[in-house]
Parts: sequence; C-alpha cells; structure tokens
Amino acid sequence: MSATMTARAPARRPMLDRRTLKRWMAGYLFLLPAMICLAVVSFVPMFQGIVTSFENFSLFRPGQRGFVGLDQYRYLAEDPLLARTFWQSWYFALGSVALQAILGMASALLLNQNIWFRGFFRGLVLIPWVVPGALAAMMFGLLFTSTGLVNTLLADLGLVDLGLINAAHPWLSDPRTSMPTIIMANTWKGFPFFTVMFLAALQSIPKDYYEAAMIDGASNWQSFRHITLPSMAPTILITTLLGTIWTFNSIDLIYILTSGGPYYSTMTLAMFSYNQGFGRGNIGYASAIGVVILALMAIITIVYLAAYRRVER
Amino acid sequence: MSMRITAPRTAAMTAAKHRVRLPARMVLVYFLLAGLTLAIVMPFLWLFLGSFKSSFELMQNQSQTLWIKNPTLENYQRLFREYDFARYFLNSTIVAGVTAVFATSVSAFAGYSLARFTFAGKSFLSFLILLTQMIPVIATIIPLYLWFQWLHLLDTYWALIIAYNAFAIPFCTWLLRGFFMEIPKELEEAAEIDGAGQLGTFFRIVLPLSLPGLVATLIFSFILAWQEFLFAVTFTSKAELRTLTVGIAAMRGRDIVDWGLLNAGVVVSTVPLAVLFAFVQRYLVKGLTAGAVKG
Repeated sequence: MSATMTARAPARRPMLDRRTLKRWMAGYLFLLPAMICLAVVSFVPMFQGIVTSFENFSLFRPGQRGFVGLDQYRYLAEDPLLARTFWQSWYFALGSVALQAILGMASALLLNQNIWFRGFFRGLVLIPWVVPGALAAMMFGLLFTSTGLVNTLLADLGLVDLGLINAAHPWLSDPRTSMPTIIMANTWKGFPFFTVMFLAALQSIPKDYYEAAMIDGASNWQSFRHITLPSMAPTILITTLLGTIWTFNSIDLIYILTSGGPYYSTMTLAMFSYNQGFGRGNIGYASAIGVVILALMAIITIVYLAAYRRVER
Repeated sequence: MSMRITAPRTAAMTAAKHRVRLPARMVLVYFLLAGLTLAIVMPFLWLFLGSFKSSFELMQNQSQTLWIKNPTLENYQRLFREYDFARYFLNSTIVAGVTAVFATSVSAFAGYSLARFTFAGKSFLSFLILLTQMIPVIATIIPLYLWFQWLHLLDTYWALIIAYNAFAIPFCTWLLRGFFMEIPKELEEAAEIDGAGQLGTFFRIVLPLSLPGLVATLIFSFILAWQEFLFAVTFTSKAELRTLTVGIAAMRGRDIVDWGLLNAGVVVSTVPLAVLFAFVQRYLVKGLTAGAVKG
C-alpha cells in the first residue's frame, strides 16, 4: 500500500526534478537486460509466428516459401480437427484446473489445521511439483497400463468381479478413458501449486474473523462460505487463471502418454499445432493454429482481469 | 458491555465443545491427511520399488505388489552401461546450471527495479513480464526453431539455454522482486545518503542482504530448467545432446517398454531435484506468495 502511495507521489509534481529523473533512468536501466532477453525469446518470436501464419512454408522444403494471405486460416476453418481439438483443449484444461483447485483447496485446509508434523506434510505435498512433467507422465503411463497398479487395485477392490470394469482395461489406449486418465495425471502433477497459493492466502486471513463468526454462532460451513472464500477470491482467481493458461498450452504430458491419440481422443490445440509443425513440417499451418491459441489466451486473460478487478473491489 | 458478559461464557462453551468435538474432527483430519499422503506418495513409491525389481519380475502379471521378491540393482547398472545416462545427466546439469546463473543475474536487476524504483510505465512493464506466462510455447517454439536452424544453433547447448530464458527470467524476476521487497528500505536510504550510487547500493547492500533469496532463486530456476522437455526434444536430435527428460523418454522402445529401466531413470533424475528442493522449499513459498497474496 505504502509502495503505491510513494509510487504516485512524484508523478503528481508539476516538474520532474533531476533526482527523480535519475531514479527513473535507474529503474529503466535495471529492467533493460531482462526486457531485451524476453523480447528475443518471447515477444519477437510471437510476432514472427503471427507473420509465418500468413505464409505457405514447409519445414522439409525450405526453399519454397510464399505469402498466401489467409489461406492457412481458411484451411483451418474447414479442418474437422479444429472444432474437435478446440473442445478437447477446454476439456483438458478446465477439467484439470477444476480438480487441481478442489484438491488444492482441500489439502490447503487440511494443512492449515493444527496437525502433528505440519512442516513435514507441507513439504510432502510439494513432491509432485518436483517431478519433471515428462517423467511424471511416464510414471502414470506405468500405473495405467493394462497390468498396472491401478487395474490391480481395482481388481482387489472387487470392481472386476462386479463387472464394472474390464480386468485389463487399457486406460490410455481406449478413447473413452484416455482423456480422463491424462487429466488425472495432470491433476497429480499440478495441484501442489494450488495448495501453496491457497495455504498462503488462508494464513493471511485474520483469526478474529473466525472468532467473531463463532460468537455469532456460525457453522464451519458458514465461516468457510462467508469468510474464507471471499477473502481468498483474488488468489483463487489468479491461480486458476495461471493454471488454465499453463494447462491449455502444455504439451509434455500428452506428448509422452498418447501424442494426441488414440483416434485423436487426447488431441488438444497445442498438440495439434506441434504435430503439424514438427511432425508434418507444415510450419505455416502450425503457426495459424498457434495464433488461434494466442487469441484464446488473450480472451481468457481479459475476462479474468475484469473479474479480478471486481473481486478486488 | 454485552460483549464483556458473553465473552467468557462463549469461551467456556467453546472449550466444552472442543473437548467433545476435537477428537472426532481431528480423526477425520488425520484420515483425510493419510489419504492425501497416499495419493501423493503412491505413484512415486510404486516407481521407486519397481526400479529394484528385475525386468522379468515386472513383466509378470502376478508381481504387481509392493513386495520385491529379488531386489536388484540391475536396472541402475544397465542405465549407465547400455545407455549414455551419465552424458544425459551432464547435459542436464550444464544446461540447467548456465540457465540458472544467467537468468538469476539478469532477473536480480529486473526484480530490484520492480521492487524499489518508481518510474513511468512501471505497472505496464511488470504486466508485460507476467504476460510472457500467457504466451503459448507452441506459438514461439516454431520461430525459435527456425532462427536456431538459421544460426546453426540446433543440436547445441545454446539453443536450450537461450530458449529456457523464456520461462526462467519471468519466474526469477517475480521471485526476486518478492525477496527484495522484504529488505528494510531504511538500509538502502542510509547507503544513498552516505553517497553510494544506485549500483553501489545494489551490489554492496541489497545483494548481500538477500543472499538466501538469490541462492533459492538460483536453485529454483535450475530445477525448472532441469524439468524442461519440449524445447529439449525439439531443438536436439543427436543422442549425445539429450537431456535427462529427453533421454528417458527416448528409452521407451517401439514395442516393449522396459519399465525397470525407465523407473530407475526417473528415480536417478528426480532424487537430486527433491534433495535440492527440500533445502529451499520454504523460500519458494515465501517468494511466490510475497507479492501475490499481499497484493
């Protein structure tokens, strides 16, 4: 708060004195190296990608390259895979983020209790975060093979005898279960981030609120609904925004587990673009899909920021 | 007035309530905690135990138990004998190490700028840094690939080190900004009154004071770079340049998956990360949430 106050104070002065100007310059100069690096690895490639989407350009025939206007987008609009991957991307991203947020909230509430070895459990919950995504994917590949641990456990629980599932159900190679399985793996990998953020938000809620609510005879649920949730709203929004964007763009897990198959059942827009670009060499087409993703990310960000402003107030 | 009368009574009531409710409630809490622990640990434990089983034992349907009949180090030995695993390890270490040092240095300046200086367009510039998190990798990976091809940087460490800055710099900047904000401002002001320039204050006061934060940031960016897969698999094709994640992914055969070997590979490449992480996880939580929660 005080930082923003002092931040605005010099700007209101009619004339910039030399000292202020010097501090401005220092601020810019300190920021400059990072900005140059980010321009080189993020912003310029992003614009380059937009330009490439108007070109016909094959990775395998680098000589022939030409401007084709909106052709790539026209092909894309006619591609039946576009609509399919569009909805599957949302299924993947929102399914993962919803589960991660629920699990993150539940574990944050648990770890905020006065439990034994609290520090130990708070560290433990971060384990999935440390495992590299590509390796976590392989780990889940192992768990969900037809003879994997999951099927063994389900059989032990008697689900096979009840006829609910097949004894050797291949989770990842059946189009009906491939996406839910990937969402499950992604949830495991991603929920600790939510736990950490939610736990920090929980700890910053003043204890008096709960005491006051208790005196007023509020139930646990009422305290959660009327104190915890509203206080955490900004954190919940920002975390789910970042989670949605990261998941929407993530490829590692799907690349390793299914590469978009079987029968395109786990193909997301990002995977679709990657396959087109580096699998088939259709750089122009892949860039056009990339631009579609970019536009979607912009829309999500704007919607979330609008929501954030309302919650903050 | 009424508060004063009711307060002790409620306190007594809650105390009485607690005596009855606490155990049942805590039993539920520990029960759920056990479930959470199991869900987190089980996949990795399964993998860890699997790495000590012989391939034959793993292939057998009946051996899907936590019990290892004949514990063996065969998988670990094969990892280094049949594959160039030591090389993958070295590649990952070099790439992640250089990325971490470079990104942390650049971000230290940027983080300090955002934490302390005031200038026109500051909120826009800090938003721009956050915005890089919204840019899909898929939109930048193709142009980067073409540039690296043109500069003959494909199949070199440089391609990875350069590309990794795309995620390392925003992350480090944000983290360091949080650490720098926690240093009492008075120390810097005193230094400036004593005639130290901005750069002098930064190097002599700010950096030494935030040494733990700097080390933590260094380690986190190292972990992030170590975990990366997509850039690495796209920008390298030679076997001797594979990083750990790519090398292990490449171990999956076309038809038969040698799970024992894969398990051992995942264990060897994850355990160092976990050890590093254990040292610094407190700082991560502090740094990540410093700006985010307090707003």
